Amino acid sequence: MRVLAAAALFPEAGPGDLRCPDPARLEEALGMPRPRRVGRLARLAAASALTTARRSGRPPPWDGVAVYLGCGLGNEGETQPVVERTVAMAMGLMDGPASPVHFANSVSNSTTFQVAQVLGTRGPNAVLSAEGHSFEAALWASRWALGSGDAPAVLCGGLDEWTDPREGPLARMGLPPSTRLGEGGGWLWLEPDPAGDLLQNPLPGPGTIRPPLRLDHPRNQAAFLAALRHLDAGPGGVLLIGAGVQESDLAPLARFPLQRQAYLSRTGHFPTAAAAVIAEAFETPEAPVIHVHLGRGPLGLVATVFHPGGAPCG
Amino acid sequence: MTGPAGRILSTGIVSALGPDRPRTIRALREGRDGGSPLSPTRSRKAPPIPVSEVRDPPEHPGAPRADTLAMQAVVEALTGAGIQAADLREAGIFVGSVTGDAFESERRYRDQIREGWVPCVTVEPGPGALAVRLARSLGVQGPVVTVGSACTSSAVALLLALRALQQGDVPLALVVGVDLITATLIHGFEALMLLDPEGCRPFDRDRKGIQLGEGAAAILVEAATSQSPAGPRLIGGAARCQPHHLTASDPDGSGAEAVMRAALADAGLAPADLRAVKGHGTGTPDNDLAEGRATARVFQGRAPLWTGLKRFLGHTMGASGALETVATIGCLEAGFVPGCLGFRNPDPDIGLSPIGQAEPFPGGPVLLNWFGFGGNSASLVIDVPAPEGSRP
Repeated sequence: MRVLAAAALFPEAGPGDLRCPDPARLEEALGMPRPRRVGRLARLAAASALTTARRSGRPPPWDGVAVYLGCGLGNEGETQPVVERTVAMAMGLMDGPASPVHFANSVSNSTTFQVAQVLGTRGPNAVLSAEGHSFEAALWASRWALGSGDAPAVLCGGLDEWTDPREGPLARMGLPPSTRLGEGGGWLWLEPDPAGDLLQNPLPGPGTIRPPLRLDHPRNQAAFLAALRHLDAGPGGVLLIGAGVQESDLAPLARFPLQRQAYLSRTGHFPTAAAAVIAEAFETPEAPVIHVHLGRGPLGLVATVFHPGGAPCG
Repeated sequence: MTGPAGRILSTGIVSALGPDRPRTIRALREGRDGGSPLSPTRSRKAPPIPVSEVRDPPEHPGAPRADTLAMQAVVEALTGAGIQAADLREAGIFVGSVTGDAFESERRYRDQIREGWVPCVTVEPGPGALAVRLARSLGVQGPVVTVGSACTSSAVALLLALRALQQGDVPLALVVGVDLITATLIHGFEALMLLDPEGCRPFDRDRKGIQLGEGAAAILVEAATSQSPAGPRLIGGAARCQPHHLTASDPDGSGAEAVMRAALADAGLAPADLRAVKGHGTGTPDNDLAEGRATARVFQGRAPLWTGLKRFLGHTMGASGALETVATIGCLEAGFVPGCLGFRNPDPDIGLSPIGQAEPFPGGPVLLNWFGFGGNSASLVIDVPAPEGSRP
């Protein structure tokens, strides 16, 4: 897969939890009409997806483009009030159900629907989830869509939203209440690369590896390390250290010229935080080094390799 | 289609019609209505509607109900293929679900209210948690993906599994659809005025809405080779999004038509090559109209045996892709296309009628359709050989 464009959505710096800008600010900057009756996550997703599409150099209409969004926590900002009201009503504690609009917005793919509506895409459209590896799940889906010709291009994103009470999402991620919660993510505009996929193209050599790799499998570990040997001859790389990564996970990589970057202090904690830093890497093509992302979650240790060099975006 | 077909090794299903595939298929053959009054435990304020509810599933203390149903379907599929969990190590898991863990969220929230706690429903897992739990309990180390695309979720999961097999990323795919009837679904669709108090009547002139259903289904798929034994093959498919409205189909059915044509093109077939079509057929006035008009256009007013399964299985939301695929394949392998239960009176605005009674299935390719919230649509083409007794 080739990345034509990217847009990162970082939370704003500040004390306490890290939050993204008000979606209205993003929409205004993009000249978008302010949507009515649309949830915050969907608005953040649509604004950052539109930024990515405009940067792609591909003129609209974008009707065949697929939209795959990784989301680990789900559309909780919309779902939670609906569930609360419905259960209270079902117990006879409250009159009337949630409004039809709130119910409809609580469906997970209301987020990607909003992206499709704003951009006018007609290709495959879905939210992909795999806890802390949800962005990776969206990358898999993108690879399959592009490899099969199901879509000529894919908007592949990772996005999660801060919700209140904050203890809820932290508990979901197995993190203590003292953890700094974040939100945001990013999008990549992906197209097929005739020379190979995201990994194989910058790393031609021994070991056929595919994005993303679950390194708990010994065969995958061997292939991953074999492919990384090419780093020795290049300008080095960046090791993006995601959630749950332990020092022992990094030991096999110590012999490679990788500069460590623990990004969670910038993003705060959320399942798709990697999407923000990976999109950021593709926004700055002047740094064409290989980025290796590691994240450990319920599925084990997962690695993804990205090579921003040559990406005409930013 | 770029790559081999998907060979369907085995399937499993837990539905309102039965706890396994043989009993579910028998009920479909008998034309048994899957609807029954809603259990009062789901909601004290529920309207009097029939639903297709799974009765008396096995109890596994501490296990979420969705996990129990999903694992029951998975075990049936694994047993049918003679596959042990250890054989799944390199496989991928592809789950489609709308409600996920919502049933447990509601139950815990009710408990919190009863016990006087300050409620906090967000302590529940995320939408991908069920698939991750399945992967861990089965020892799967390949990709694990949960698809959220409303009522097309597990159909899209099956299509993604096919693509992963075709590209050599997994040697085996386990596709699971699971959804439960929650209070949120009952009252959400009630608020949208989309529940038919008489049970759903797909494509009928007097249809008023859906019949909620629940269940789980599992499908084991591998890439077919020239040496593969005969059996059902997934030979094409497509997914699309027509973002007309979040909850309503585009009135002319152009999105539905586009996805059917794309799936047929992927399979390398013309409409006349098909032997049967399983419609989505929710029973809602607008969706059935859009789907019916699209189907009539694709088949130029003469669809092959056209049917719908939701009066049997209920509308199982994101799980309907897997449940209806398993049920359709089971019926076709048994030699019949099930009648579209609930349909009585043709709708002149559709201009096409589904079959009212079961009809013999001669073998060949069939088209299966799903449409959902968010303008999502998915179509799959499955080739099912003629049943044993009817082969020349």
